[in-house]
Amino acid sequence: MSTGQLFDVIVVGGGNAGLVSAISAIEHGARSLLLIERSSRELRGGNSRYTRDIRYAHEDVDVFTTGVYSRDEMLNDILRVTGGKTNIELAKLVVERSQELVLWMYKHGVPLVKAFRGTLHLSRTNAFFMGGGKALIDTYYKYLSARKEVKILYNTIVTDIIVDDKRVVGVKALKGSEEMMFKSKSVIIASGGFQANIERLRQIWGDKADKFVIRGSRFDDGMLLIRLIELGAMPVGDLKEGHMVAVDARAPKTDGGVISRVDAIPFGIVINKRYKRFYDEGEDEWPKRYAIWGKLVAEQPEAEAYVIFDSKIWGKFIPPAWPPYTANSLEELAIKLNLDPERLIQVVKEFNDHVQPCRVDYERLDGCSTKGLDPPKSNWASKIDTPPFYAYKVVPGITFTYYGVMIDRNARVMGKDGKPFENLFATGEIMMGNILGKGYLGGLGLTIGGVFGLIAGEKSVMPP
Amino acid sequence: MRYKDIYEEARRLLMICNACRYCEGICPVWTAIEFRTDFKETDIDYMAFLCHDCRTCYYVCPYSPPHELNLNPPKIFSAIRFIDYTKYSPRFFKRIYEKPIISTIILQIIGIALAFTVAFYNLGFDLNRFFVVSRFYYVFPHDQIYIGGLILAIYIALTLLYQSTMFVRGIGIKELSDLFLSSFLLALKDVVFHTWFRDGILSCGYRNEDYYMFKKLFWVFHVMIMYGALLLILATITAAVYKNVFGIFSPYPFYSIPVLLGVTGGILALLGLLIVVYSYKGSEEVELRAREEKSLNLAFSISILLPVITGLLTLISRSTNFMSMIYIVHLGTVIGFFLYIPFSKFNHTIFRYLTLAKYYSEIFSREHFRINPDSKKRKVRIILIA
Repeated sequence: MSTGQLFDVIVVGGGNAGLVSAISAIEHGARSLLLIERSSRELRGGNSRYTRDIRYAHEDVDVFTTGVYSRDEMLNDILRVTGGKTNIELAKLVVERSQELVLWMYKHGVPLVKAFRGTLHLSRTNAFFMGGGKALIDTYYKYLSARKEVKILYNTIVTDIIVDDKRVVGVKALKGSEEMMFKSKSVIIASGGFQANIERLRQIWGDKADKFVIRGSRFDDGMLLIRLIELGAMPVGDLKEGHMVAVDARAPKTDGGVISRVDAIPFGIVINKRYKRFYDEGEDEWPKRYAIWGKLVAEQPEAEAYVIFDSKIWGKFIPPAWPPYTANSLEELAIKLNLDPERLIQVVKEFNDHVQPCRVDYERLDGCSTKGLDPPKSNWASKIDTPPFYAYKVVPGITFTYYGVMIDRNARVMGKDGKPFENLFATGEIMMGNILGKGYLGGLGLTIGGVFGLIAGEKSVMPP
Repeated sequence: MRYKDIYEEARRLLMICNACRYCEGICPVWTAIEFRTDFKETDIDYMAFLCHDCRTCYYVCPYSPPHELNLNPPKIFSAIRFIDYTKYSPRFFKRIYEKPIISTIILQIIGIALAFTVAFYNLGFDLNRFFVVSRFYYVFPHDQIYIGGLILAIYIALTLLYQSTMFVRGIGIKELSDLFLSSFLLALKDVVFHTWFRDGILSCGYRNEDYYMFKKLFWVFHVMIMYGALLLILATITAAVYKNVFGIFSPYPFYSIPVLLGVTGGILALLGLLIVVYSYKGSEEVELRAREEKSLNLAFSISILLPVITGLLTLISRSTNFMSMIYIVHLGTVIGFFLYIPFSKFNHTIFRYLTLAKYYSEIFSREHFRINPDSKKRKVRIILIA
C-alpha cells in the first residue's frame, strides 16, 4: 500500500451518503477518488443496508408513489416533526432537490418499485427500493467498482483528518495494524453518527445505555465526528436526540435492522415499569411518530416499557421476528411479563373506562380518542377487552444520532468561527442535526444524505 | 443438520423474513409469506418449492452471512426440497434419493445389462453378429421396444401419481378441486416462460458486482435442457408416426423430421447439461445450495447425459460395425434413465407446477374475498386423470 498518494477526492464512509457523493464527484469530473469503508466488503453500507424507502416531494403524480406530495407539505412535515428545530434554509434545499435525487437514483439503476407492478407496498410520500437498502448500496458499489478512477478500501478506519488552518490536506487511516496516509484536494465525511459508541451513550444516558439496542451498523462509533469537533468544526444538535424506536427486548445487540421494530404501539397502550402510560400512543400517523418512541422509552425507569393490546389488533401490523407474549387473561399476561397482575389490570381498566364509543379505523387518523385521561390517546382508542391478550417488552433501539457538525448550503463543514472549511464536506448522519433537531419522518434520512451527497460531490470537484 | 433442525431453521428464517418483508415483490415466496403468521411443515414445504433458486433474495438480504442472523433462504429451501423428495416417495425407495449418484450408476448398469441380455437372446447368442452393420430392429424388434416402453411408462406414471398425491396433501391442498382452473393455466405459463427462474422481478435491475453474465444467463441453460428433452420426446413420437401411419421404417435419413428433432434436442440438452454440471464448481454453489440437492442435480444430469451422448453416437455410427454395440448401450442407458426418473430431480417439475397452481389460487381467493367477502369461493372441478 503506497502512502502519501494524492487523490482529487477522498470519501470517508460507504453508505448511501458517501456513495452518492462519490458518484456525484466522479460525474462532475474527479479524476481520482478514494472511498474508505470501515466494514468488510460483505457488511458494507453502514445503516443504509437496513433502509427501504426514500421520502421526496413531487408536485405531480408519478409511478413510484400513489399521489402528490408537494414541496410545501414536505417542508411543513419537517417543521412539524422537528417542532421548528431545523435549519430552514437547508431543509428547503433538501425538499427542493429531493425529487431530482430520486430521479438521479433511478437513472443510476436503483430498483425503485413502480406502481404498475401489482399489489406491492407503495406510499404517497416515499419511493421504495425493490429488495431494500442492500439493493440500493450494491447498485452504487457496482457502479463505482467499474470505474477505474475509483479506489475502494474496505476494513479501513480513518483515524484523523490532516488540517492546515481551514484547508484539509488529507487523512490518516488504519487497516489492521498498518497505518496509512492519503493526500487529497478535498475530503467528504459521510461516516455516520455515534450511535454504536456505547461509551459515549453511557456518558449521556447513564446506565440505561446498557439497555440500548443498536439497530444499525456496529461500526458507527462517531470517533471521526469527535475528531472534527476537536479540529474546530461547529457542533449542531442535542446529544440526546436521534432516530430511536421502540424495539423488542429480544433484538440482537447490533445490526438488527427492521425486524425488531414494534409497530403495535398506535393500536394498543404502552406502560412503563411503574404501571403508568407516559405518552399519547395515537398522537399522529405512525410514520411520523415511530422514531420518537425509542427516546420516550429511554426516558422511562430502567429504560423499559410494555406494549399491551388485544386480539382485535392482531394482524393489523407487521409483527417483529419474535412472537408476542400471549395469554387468555390480563392476569396470566402479567405473570408471563413478570409484572404485578393487579396493577396491570388496574391500568388497563382505567384506560378502558376512558375510551369513548367510536368506529375505529386503523387506516387513517380516526379521531377515536379517550376522554379525561392523561396522557390521552388521540386516535385509534379502543377497549382492550378481547382475549387473547398480547404484549411486547420494548427497549430503546437507536438507529442514528442527530448530534453532528454544522454545514453550509454547499455541504461544507462550518468552523466554530462561523467560516466554513474550504474543502471539507459532510453529509449523511454526521450532519443530520442540521435539519432534524428532533423527531423524524420515515425515509428522510436517505433524502438528506443523498441531497447533500450530490452537493458535496459536485462542490468537492468544483469548489464554491 | 437433522430433519427437525432443518424445519426449525426454516421456521426461524421465515419468522424473521416476515418481520422484514423487504423482499416483497421479488418472487412468489415473498408474497405467500405475507399471507401467513405461522409456518407449519405444510407451509414450509409449499414455500420451498415456490422458490425457484434464483438467489435474488440472498443478494439483497442485509442479514445473509456473515451477518449474525445468518439468513440463507436459497440454501434452506434447497435442503427442504431434498427432504420433500424423499418424504413424498414410497418408503421402500428412499435410499435411491439418499444416494443419488451411486443409485443412478447402478440403475444405468442394470439397464445396460438388461439391454445386453435381451440383445444376446435376439441375436441368438452369437457374438459375431454384434459387430456387423445391422438394422436397429434386428437388435431389438419393435414389439419388444413397445412392450418395454409400456411397462416403464406404467411404472413411471404410477410412482409419480403416488408422489404427486402425497405432495398435494403435504403442501396443504385438501382437494385439487379447491384450486382455480385459471391458476393451473397461469402456472403452466410460468413453466413455459421460466418466469421465476429468470431471477424473479429484479432480473434486469439489481445485481452486485459479483453477479456476472454467466449466472445471469443461468436460466437459458435450463431452457436448453427442458426444451431439448421435449424435442427428444417429440422425435420419438414422430418416428412412431412415420412407422405406423406412413409405414416408413428406420433408419431415417439425416434430413428427416425425427432425426432433425432428435439431433437438435440432443445437442441442446447436451450443451445445457454440460454447462450446468460445470457451473457446480463455483463457490456460490457451496454457499447457496444444500449439498444433498447438489448431488441430486448431478445424478440427474448424468442420467440424462448418458442416453443423450450414446444417442448421438448411435446416429454417427449407424453405418459402421460398432452400430449394434452402441445401440444396445444407448437403449440400456435409456432404460436406466426411465428407471431413475421417479426418484430423481425430475419430480421438481411436477412439484413446482403444483405449488405455483396453489400460489395463484391463494392470490385469487384472497382477491376474490377482498372484493366480495360474503360470496362463496368459486369452485372449478379439475379432472386430472380420467
